[in-house]
Parts: sequence; structure tokens; C-alpha cells
Amino acid sequence: MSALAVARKEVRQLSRDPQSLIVHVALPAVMILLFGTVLSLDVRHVPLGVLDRDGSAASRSLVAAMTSGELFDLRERLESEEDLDRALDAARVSLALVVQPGFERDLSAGREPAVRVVVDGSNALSAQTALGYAELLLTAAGARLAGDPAAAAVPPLSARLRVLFNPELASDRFLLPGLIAMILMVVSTIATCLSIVKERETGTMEQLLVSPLSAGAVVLGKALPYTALSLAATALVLGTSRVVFGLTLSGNPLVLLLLAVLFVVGAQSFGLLISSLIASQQVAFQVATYATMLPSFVLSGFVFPLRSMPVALQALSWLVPARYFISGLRGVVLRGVGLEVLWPEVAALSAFAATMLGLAVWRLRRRRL
Amino acid sequence: MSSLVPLGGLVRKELRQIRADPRMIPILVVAPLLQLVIFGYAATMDVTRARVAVLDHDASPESRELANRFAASDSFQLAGHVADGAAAEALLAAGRADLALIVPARWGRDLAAGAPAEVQLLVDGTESTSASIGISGATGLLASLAREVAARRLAQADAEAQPPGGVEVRRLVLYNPDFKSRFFMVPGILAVVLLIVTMIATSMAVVREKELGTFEQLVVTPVTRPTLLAGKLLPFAAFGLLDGALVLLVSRWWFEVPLRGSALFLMGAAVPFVLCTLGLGLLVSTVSRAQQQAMMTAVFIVILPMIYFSGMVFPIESMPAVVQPFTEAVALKHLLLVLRGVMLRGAGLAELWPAVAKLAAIGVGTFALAATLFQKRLA
Repeated sequence: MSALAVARKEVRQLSRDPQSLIVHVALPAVMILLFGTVLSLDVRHVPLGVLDRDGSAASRSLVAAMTSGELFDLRERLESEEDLDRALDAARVSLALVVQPGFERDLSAGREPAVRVVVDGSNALSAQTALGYAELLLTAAGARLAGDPAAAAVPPLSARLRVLFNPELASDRFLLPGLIAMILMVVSTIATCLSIVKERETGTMEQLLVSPLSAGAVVLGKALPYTALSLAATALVLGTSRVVFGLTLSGNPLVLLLLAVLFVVGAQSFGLLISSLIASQQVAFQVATYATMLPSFVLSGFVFPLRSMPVALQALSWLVPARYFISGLRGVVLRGVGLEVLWPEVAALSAFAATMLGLAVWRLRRRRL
Repeated sequence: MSSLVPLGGLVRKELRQIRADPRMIPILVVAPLLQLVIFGYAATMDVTRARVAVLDHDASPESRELANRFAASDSFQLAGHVADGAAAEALLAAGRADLALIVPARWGRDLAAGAPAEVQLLVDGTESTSASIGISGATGLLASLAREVAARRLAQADAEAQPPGGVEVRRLVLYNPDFKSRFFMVPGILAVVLLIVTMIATSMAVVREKELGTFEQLVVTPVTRPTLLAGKLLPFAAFGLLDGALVLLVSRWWFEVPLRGSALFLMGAAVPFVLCTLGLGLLVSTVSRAQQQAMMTAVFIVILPMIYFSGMVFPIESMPAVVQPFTEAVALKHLLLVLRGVMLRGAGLAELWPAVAKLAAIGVGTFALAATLFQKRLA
């Protein structure tokens, strides 16, 4: 009951402080809106250069096959090999197609002429994807152009493709859960951290501590209103993602709620813990920013796949709560799976929330003694 | 020349303050190195082998050969065999396989007879980039198998027959032949370290003097305003560039990211960028009353948007066309173009002058604006 009293006090304080209300609830949605628009690793509109030494109908249709979709944009017609080097060095094109003289003649004679694809490998991921697309397009166009009995003799061994969970292969659907987790982690942690800082500045923290309230009641009372706020922020963020970016929920909303509650309670207790561990408020604030932002961005599987990291960092990522929230969100939102698959995530987030709550209560109790 | 004497004094004062402030050393030295190490090791988007589950309804020598080809390829690894379609989908849903290959019954016989033979590929599209790389890998593998089978059949049927037509695609990968994503990310870290060190440290140092009221004391001394500003900013510019050089050394000798162009040109291009970040730091300190507020503004209003809109992680070509023009105003974008150009492609001023020119314009413009506003507030 005393926890409720602290919560009531906290709510009254918050209602007099519209600025922090706005920061807490609206900032996450604004950040989703702002960053969500650029959140894409899709490979499209790759700047293409063409060095066509054949200048035949066949070579032109090869180029046309590459530029017909929105994958490649023909930026430059190159005149020579030096031209090609310069265009790649200056990054005016990142992929170039080279067709040698005699291409059409060799093709119609069935001699299987070689074309060359030169790619700027600097951005490894885009380069690999672009190269894969280019090879597929060129091979298909080549077989079609050859169009002779020999090509017809190739048994039509083909693959029927069915892409599950994200049929358009849109990277923003993959990335949005990561962005949501990162923003919620940072804002929730900082918000409670700041609320303690404020109590300290006004001297009311000491009053709370000398009151007959138990440490658990103080922590719970502090965490409850902020949890409600964070859940409102979560709802707003998910609503924005749905309306603006078309991220629809394919799983059970209750599982989503469970994941969000555990994650947010853990993040807030983490904020309480930091501010109780570190005397200087500014240092506490800095620690909270660094300790949430960097791991949630880098070690959570948001952008960088955990499987390709060195083992030591993979082990470290087990300690990053955003990791579990992101994989849980992807499970519920994209794959539509439920607790039967996501129980490890729920267990890990429960452990995170319980540990952080416990540590925060323990710290506050010690300060009092 | 006489103005140099108070400048030296101011710089010494600032350095002494940095040494005395326990929070400055972590920001200036520890954080950059920590960021480099974590990002350098963790920020890899290298595609690992896609895990393929096989559902073989055919169980013929041909279908086993197909599965073996997937297992032998560098791009795939077998995640096991499943008994039915539901099991395959469950494996994908649980995230324990990335791809399922479904071979229908009689597939091997059709293939050998030259009849249409189709396999089904089930792909987990959640991680879209690795999924599309996996799809093109699988399609390529099937295409090469098809050609071999056709060639074999033609050779059996008629020794005179022509080989199947088409084109052969030869690939040439420049600058990063092993597709190491680290080559792309590490230059970005160098830029972000420069940004954070110069901007956050400057804004916090200025706001601190405001909080303590010591700035008023400096203003009433006979030192001129520009000297005051220079004395405040020079140490942080120097720290930023030193950190940049340190990061460059570590990335060259520890992470083995190439430095193919001129290091001098690189550091030269960093100067207008630092001018811009110092200006931004000043702007932040002009609007902030407390150090917390300064840090909050610096992180959320400046640093995060700059990182997202610079193409450091998310390519600018993939952004909506409406957004792309706005990225021109982001200094970090131009610095990244220069850094990646010099380090990976060995480019120089001849190739990179547009980016350098824009960087210079943004740097000088931001700094001039910030300095004017700042001095107006002091007056």
C-alpha cells in the first residue's frame, strides 16, 4: 500500500512537470518517426557504370535487363578502362558492367562470351547483395538472348520461392524492432535516473529515506508511474510504426505486452540503480546514457548480426537486455510466434527485471543504514 | 603578437581544468578507445553461412547430391533434415534455420529425363539482407547444377551437340575483395569519435563555466572575445585530432583496415569537420543552462540524427528520395565520403574535392554562426 502512496506522490509531481511528461512519452515517438524514415539496408538504386565495347543489339539488351528494375540506376556510360577506374575511385559508380567486342557474335555462335562485373567492395554488405543481383540478372538475360536450341535443352530446373514473415524482404521491418528497443531502453533508464537526481537536488530524497517507508515501497512507487508512462510510450511508438511504416503485429498482443512490461521495469530499475550507486548526478546521467545507448545499438542484434561477432562479444551480449526484447519483438511482430517459442526471451527479461529491482531495493536499504 | 600571450595562458588554464576534472579523462581518452574496440569487433555485418533445413520427399541420388552441394558450399551449412513441411516452417519460425529446401517426390527422375523439375525454397525473410544474399546464392547453385545436368545429357545424346548458350559472368571485386564489413565501419567510428570528443567536451566545458559563474570573470578581463573563444576551443580541437590520429593508428595496425591514400590529406579534411563540431558544441552550450541539458541536447538533437542521416550504417541511396537532399547538410556524411575514399580506395583531392568543398562550407558556416551567437550572448 505504501508503494501506492509513493506512486501517487510521483504522479502528482509528474503532472506538474509537463516537460518531462513530453520527453518521456512523445520523444520516443518523434525519434521513431525521424529515424524510421532512414532505417533501411535495402539495396536499391545502385549507381551503375557501363563500358560497352561491343555496341550491339545484344549488349544493349543486356544493359537494359540490368536497369529495368529499381536495383540499378545507369549513371555513366564509360569510354575506356581508365574511365572505369576513375569512376570507381571517385565513387560515382559502385558497380560496372564491361562487355568486350565480339560479344554478340560469340553469343549467337554459342561460344558463351564472358562479361565482367566490377564492384566496389567497400560496403561489403551492399556490394555482395548487388553482385548477387547482377549475376542473376545477367545470367537470365544471357540465356534469353542466346535463345537457341541449346539453351532450350537446359532442363528448366527452377526454384519456387516462398519468403516467410517478410515477403517483400524489406529491411525496415527487421530494423524497426531494434530501434524501438533502443529508444525505450535509453529513455526509460534516463527518466528514472533523472527523477532520483531531481529528488536529490531538492533534498526530498533524504526525506523519503528517513520516512517509515520500506526500500521496496520506494522503488516500486518510483517505478510504477514510470512503467505506466513507458507503456504509453511503447503503445505510441508501436502505433506510429504501424501507421507510418506499416509494421503490423502478426502475433499475440498479450505476449507483446508481457515482453514490454518486463523490459521497461528492468530498464527503470537499472536507472534507479545507477543513480543510487553514483553520488554525482552528472556522472550518473552520463553513465546511464553510455551504458544504455552503446550496448543497445551494437550488442543487441539491432543492426549487426550477433552470429558474426567474436565469441567474447557474443557472450557479452547475453547481458544486454535489449537483445532479448528485440528478438522477442521480431518473434511476435514478424513471425507471429507465441510463448512456446519465445519463453527463453521472457525468462531472460524476467531475470533482468528481477535482478535490477532487487539490486535497486538493496542499494536503497543500504544507504539508509 | 601580443594577443598570443593571453591565448597561451587561457589554453594552459583549460588544460589544467581538464586534468582536474575527473569526468573529462573518460570522455577524452577512454570512451574513444572503448568505442573503437567495441565497434571494431561487433559492428560486422559479415554474412555467416545460411542454415539450410532439407525436406527430401524424393530421396534419390540426385536429391542427395543437391543437399550435398548446399553443405559443401561456402555460403550454406546444413541445419538438418525435417520430415514434413510443418516441421520446416516451425524450424524457420523458431529462428533455427534460415532457409528450407523442399525437394518433391520424383524430382530426380524428372531432372534426369529433362522434364521440368522444380524445388521449393522456403526463406525466413526477417533478416532481409542475409535473406536476399541467401536467395541469390541458392538460385546460383541451382542454375549451375542445371547447366551441368544439361551438358551431361547433351554429351550423352549427341556428341556433336553444342553446349548450352548464355553468358559467363566474371566478377572482380575492388578495394575490399574479402567483403570485410569492418573496412566500411571503422572509418565511421573514426568520424564519430571526432564528433563526440570535440562536441560534447566543448559544450560541457562552456556550460560548466556558466554554472560556476567563472565565465563572467573571464569576460571582464582585458582579454578579447575571439582570444577567449580560441583559448576555450583550441585544447578540445587538439584533443579531437589527437584522438582521431590514435584511432587511425589502431585501425591501421590492429584492425588492419587499409590506409591507401594520404594520411595528411585525411587529417587536413578533418579540420573543417572539427570546426563544424566545435561550432555545434558552442551552439549547444548557448541554449543550455546545465551540463545535463547540454549533454541531452548534444546526444539526442545533434549526435543521433547526424549518425542516422550520414550513411554511416544505413546507406543514403536506400533512404526515401525526399529525405536524401537533407543529408547534404550533414557534415558527417561528407567526412565519411572522404575517410572511406582515402582509406579504402586511395582517392585524393582530385576525386574527393566535392565532398571537401561541402565540408569546408558547412564547417566555416556553422562555426561563424555559433561564434556570432555566442559573442552576442556574452555582450
